[in-house]
Amino acid sequence: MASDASSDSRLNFRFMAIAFISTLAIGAGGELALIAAFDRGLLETVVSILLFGSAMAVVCSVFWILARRLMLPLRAIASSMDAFSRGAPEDEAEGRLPADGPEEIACMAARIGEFMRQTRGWKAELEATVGSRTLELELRNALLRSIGSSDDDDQAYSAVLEAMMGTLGADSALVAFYDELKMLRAAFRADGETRHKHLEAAEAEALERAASGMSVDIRLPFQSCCAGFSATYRLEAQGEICGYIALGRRSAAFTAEERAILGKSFTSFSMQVRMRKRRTRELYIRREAERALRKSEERLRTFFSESKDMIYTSNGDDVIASINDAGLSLLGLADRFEALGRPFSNHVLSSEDRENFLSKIKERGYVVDYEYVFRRKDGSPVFCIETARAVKDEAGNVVEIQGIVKDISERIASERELWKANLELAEANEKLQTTKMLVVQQEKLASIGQLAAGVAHEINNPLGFLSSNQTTIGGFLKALRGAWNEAASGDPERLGEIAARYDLDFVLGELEAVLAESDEGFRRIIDIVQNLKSFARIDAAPTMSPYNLNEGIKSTLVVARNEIKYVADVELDMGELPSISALGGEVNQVFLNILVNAAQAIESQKRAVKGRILVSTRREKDRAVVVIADDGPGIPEDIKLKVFDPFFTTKEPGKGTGLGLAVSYDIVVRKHGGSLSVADSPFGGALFKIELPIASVDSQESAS
Amino acid sequence: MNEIPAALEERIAASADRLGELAVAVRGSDSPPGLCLSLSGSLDGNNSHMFRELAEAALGAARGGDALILDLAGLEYISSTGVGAFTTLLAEARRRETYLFVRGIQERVKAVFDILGFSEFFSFLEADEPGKP
Repeated sequence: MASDASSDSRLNFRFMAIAFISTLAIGAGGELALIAAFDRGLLETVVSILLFGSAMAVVCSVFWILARRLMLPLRAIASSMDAFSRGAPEDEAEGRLPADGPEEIACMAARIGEFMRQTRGWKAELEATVGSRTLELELRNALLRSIGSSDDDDQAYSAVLEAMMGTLGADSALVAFYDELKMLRAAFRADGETRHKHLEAAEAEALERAASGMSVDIRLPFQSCCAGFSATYRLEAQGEICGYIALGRRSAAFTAEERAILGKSFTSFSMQVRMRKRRTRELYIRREAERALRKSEERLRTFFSESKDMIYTSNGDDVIASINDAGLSLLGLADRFEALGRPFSNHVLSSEDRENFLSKIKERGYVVDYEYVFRRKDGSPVFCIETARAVKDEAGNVVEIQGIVKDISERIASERELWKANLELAEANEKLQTTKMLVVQQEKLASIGQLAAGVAHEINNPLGFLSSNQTTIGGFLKALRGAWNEAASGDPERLGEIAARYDLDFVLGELEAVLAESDEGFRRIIDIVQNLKSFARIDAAPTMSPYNLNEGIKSTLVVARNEIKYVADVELDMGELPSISALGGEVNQVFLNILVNAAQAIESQKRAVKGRILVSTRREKDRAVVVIADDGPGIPEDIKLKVFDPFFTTKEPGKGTGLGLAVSYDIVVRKHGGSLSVADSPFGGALFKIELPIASVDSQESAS
Repeated sequence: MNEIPAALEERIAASADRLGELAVAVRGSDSPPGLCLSLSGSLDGNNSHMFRELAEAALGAARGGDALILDLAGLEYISSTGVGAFTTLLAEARRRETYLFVRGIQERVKAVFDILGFSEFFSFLEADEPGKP
């Protein structure tokens, strides 16, 4: 105001000076006019001068008054503008503008005032914009600088926290981000302390709700250290959620302007977080890959050096380039250089086997489980198995062979023992067969010995009457000779008398009868001997041949007749059977064993009446069935399972070998593929059932 | 010359693929009388089992008193499994009371029999040597 007063007085002074100078000028003009008047007419001149002077004074006064009315408002406007330009407050600057004065000037002052107010609004607006822009840039810069401050996520996001809090004046802050394992991890700071933790699912959900502007109904664990967060943002870039930021400030809530700045800053920050997330993930993957590679290399190194199997490489000429300790051990070498640089074939028993191996690997590119014999340094052989692959160049030439060789000597040794045992078992089996054949033969001989008395008796009967007949024939022949002599010496006419006297008709008739009877006797003897021969046939090289089962039974019954006829009657019920392929002699042996056993069992009962043995045959599908049942004492249940065991017998010592049924079982089951079973007879004794397959000769041979 | 069972020939022909690197052919033999299986190539773990089956079929086809002759002149490689197949076959031949001869074996193949200690079990014939069962 002092300044304005001074300016006003200066303006008044200027007007007064102008008026005085004007008066002087007018006075001077008048004086000059008077001087001139003296030349023309003094009075007239003086009057003119006075009039002129008065007019000039009036003009000057009017001019002064008018000047003062114009200059004052203008001076006020100038002062106001000066104050405005100096940044004076509104009441000081705009307040100086003249409210009255000439209309034009008042209008101008109003316009100027309006301009000043508008400019002042623009300035405030501009200042606010610059402020928020500055804050945003500072925040962005701080975030950018801090997020790249460390490769370690926790350290980098700790720096982000500090940068945010420093820039925004926040008391607490949280940054949640996805770590290299894609787990949501948070760095949070409150009360001067920074902590880190992986967020639970509920915590992550709470952050998401808060970022979405929804209420959070759980208390986040990290909120216990601060007053809570008043602003929460989701960091999202290109549709991907990269994390969250939460800020808390006790002093003042975040303004809408601040929130807008934060929103923009965090939007751009999201991209950096996303990039960091990707980079961290890539780094992690690379680190993991490097770790895996190191581990793999270590594993390969360990695999090579500590393998129990030989691992080697050789070049295209099959010269050994590398070999592990197990290989040296396998080859019996003490020094690696005894192997390196030398042909692989040096260590193989047969170089042709190695050539065969090389040929295969060249052709296929690999060889699996190739077995050959290595030669150790001391010359001893060692069985090995090798699996190898070839590395080839572009032209297809083998440049390297990588092989693993396993010592299989122990396996071979155990297999060899097994094979040897198998061969020895076959040999033993061969011997056993021979022995068994001898046993069977002995059993037959025993049977024959047992039957010898009966056979002798059987032969004795026909021999008795044959002998008697021979005596009779001798007497008859003597009579005939006498008659002949007399007839020859006497009269031929007396022949009739002689014939009557010597009863020639009777003699001749009897002679025919005697001869017929002798023929029968001889036939029976021949039959018995034939059956005996047939039965006792030694099967040196037994072969299957057509065999009539019914005939075999009949033949056996003839042989066993003497054993049976005094103790039992044999009933035959022979069904129609085709000829089967069998070892006839051995099958007869089976029948004989069972029939004699039946007879002996019945005899052991010492009963008054003869027993009964029923032999029946029949066909059941593709099997011929023979059933031999007796009415003897039968076989107790606990013995039934043992009767086919070798050397099992219930007969008194000397009467049985215990092999009869065992041999029979072997003949029927093993040699013929049939079955032999024992059961109770419907007559109260034992029942043996023999089943033999009816099959072609070829298939029988194959089965045997 | 012994007659070759058609079924055996067919079976050998049908097994060619499964025998891999081993080729098997059958022919009759006069001396010793019987059937002769000619082997060529490699007998190893991959084809030993198949070979054994064929050889056992040949054993089954041999008539009583006839022999089975294994002509190994063309066999260039044998593994221990192959020798194992031979021993199993020999045991089977003994069980069937059929003679088994090995003819014309190459030295390196025989060496495997020697190292394994099975040479003494087999009757080896030279390539042109008649067998005497």
